[in-house]
Amino acid sequence: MTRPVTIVIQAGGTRAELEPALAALLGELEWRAAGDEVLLLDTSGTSALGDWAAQRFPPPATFERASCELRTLALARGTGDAGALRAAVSEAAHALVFLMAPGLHVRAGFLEPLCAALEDPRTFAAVPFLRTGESAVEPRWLAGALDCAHVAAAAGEFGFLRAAACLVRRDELLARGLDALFEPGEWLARDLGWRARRDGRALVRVAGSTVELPAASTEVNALEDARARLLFTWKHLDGEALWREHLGALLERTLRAAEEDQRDELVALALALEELPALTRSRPAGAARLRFAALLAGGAEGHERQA
Amino acid sequence: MTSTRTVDPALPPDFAVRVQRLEALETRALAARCLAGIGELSEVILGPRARHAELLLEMLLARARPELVEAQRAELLAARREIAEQGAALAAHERAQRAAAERELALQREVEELRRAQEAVAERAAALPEERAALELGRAALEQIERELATLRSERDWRAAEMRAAASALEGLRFRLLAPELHERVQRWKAGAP
Repeated sequence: MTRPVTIVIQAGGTRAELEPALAALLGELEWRAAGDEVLLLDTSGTSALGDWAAQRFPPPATFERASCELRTLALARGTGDAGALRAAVSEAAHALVFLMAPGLHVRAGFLEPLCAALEDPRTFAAVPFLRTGESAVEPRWLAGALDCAHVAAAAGEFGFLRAAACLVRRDELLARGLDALFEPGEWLARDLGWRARRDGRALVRVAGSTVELPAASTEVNALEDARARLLFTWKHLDGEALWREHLGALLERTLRAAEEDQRDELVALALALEELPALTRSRPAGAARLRFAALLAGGAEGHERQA
Repeated sequence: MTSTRTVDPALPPDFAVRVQRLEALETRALAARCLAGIGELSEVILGPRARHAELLLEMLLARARPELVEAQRAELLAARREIAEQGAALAAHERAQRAAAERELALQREVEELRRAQEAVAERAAALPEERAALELGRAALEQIERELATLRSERDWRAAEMRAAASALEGLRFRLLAPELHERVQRWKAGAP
């Protein structure tokens, strides 16, 4: 049975980027005819996106046999990613939610394999392949710090969730929530996926599902990324031995950065350290089902020191 | 069908403003803030501040101090120099060893050649009595041949003399037969008669 899906698009990009992506998506959903819903998030503080969508994709002309709906959710200007996504998921009409980047071009039949993957209760999120020869980021522990290694994307379980294209259950997403500590950027979804993985759940890349995400849509701000990586580490790291190794590495990096005038490194560290009160509140209480090292790429190999 | 709804979630802090504020700090002040922050983080995670102090002390002690670095650098330079000198001496020694080895090889070749020459002489010496015997035999054979040849020659000379005598006799006989008067005149002439 085909299950309807709410597709959430955070439409922060240009209309030129959004329009072809939306046209491809609506065409696919019309063909699917499952009663899906598309939710456009507008954080410009105006109703411009809603007006544009109504004018560019008018219901009668576009959806003669339509069984999908296009809606716009106008949020206050400057709304963060976490708040916007939370609002959108709360608004979602269907039990399955597909988070989608505005520049993402879907391909025929991309959604059905993802829905099928979510029928396994252990699967927390199902994602498609983003492009041919896709490079995925996988977490590993290197010299007392969390390192993001680029590896070839493969079907099956993986370590870091991306909000650019993933199918999750609405109620589960609302229950777990999104941690505003990690916005803006990639780490918001990585934290969400990691929390699920700590509980023994799986993030799955599905072989039969493919979309196209232009490389330009994946650019990240280095300072934001460094700050969020530190916060992620501090939120999820467990085991005193790993912590001592990490704190030693931080001290070493700070002194070296001071000696060599590497200000960006110090700014990123200071930005993260300013979030300590929020981090303390954000750290999960109680023991996780799986330890930090066990969730790294290659499992606990090379982390013998962890208790 | 399209519809629009407005919600007002909490606004996130302005990231750019925070970055600008931190970037305005001097590097040392920024680093000091980071060190203090790491202390707080350590306290939050590991507990009493003493653990952070202990960690900091461990790390600082592990770091190389400038005077130690300078001393180690000087030591390293001296060691490198010594290694270079030893390397040069070793290279010279190796060259000498190589030359000695080449000389030894040449001498070995020379000794080998002499040995071969000696063997050749010994072989020749061993073969000499046989050669001498063969030579004696040859010489005896030669003498025999010479003797036989001399006999043959003398026989030939005798036969030639015989033949000449026979030819003269034959000539005289022919002369007497063909011109007897002339023979008489010759006899007379020989006898001194006119």
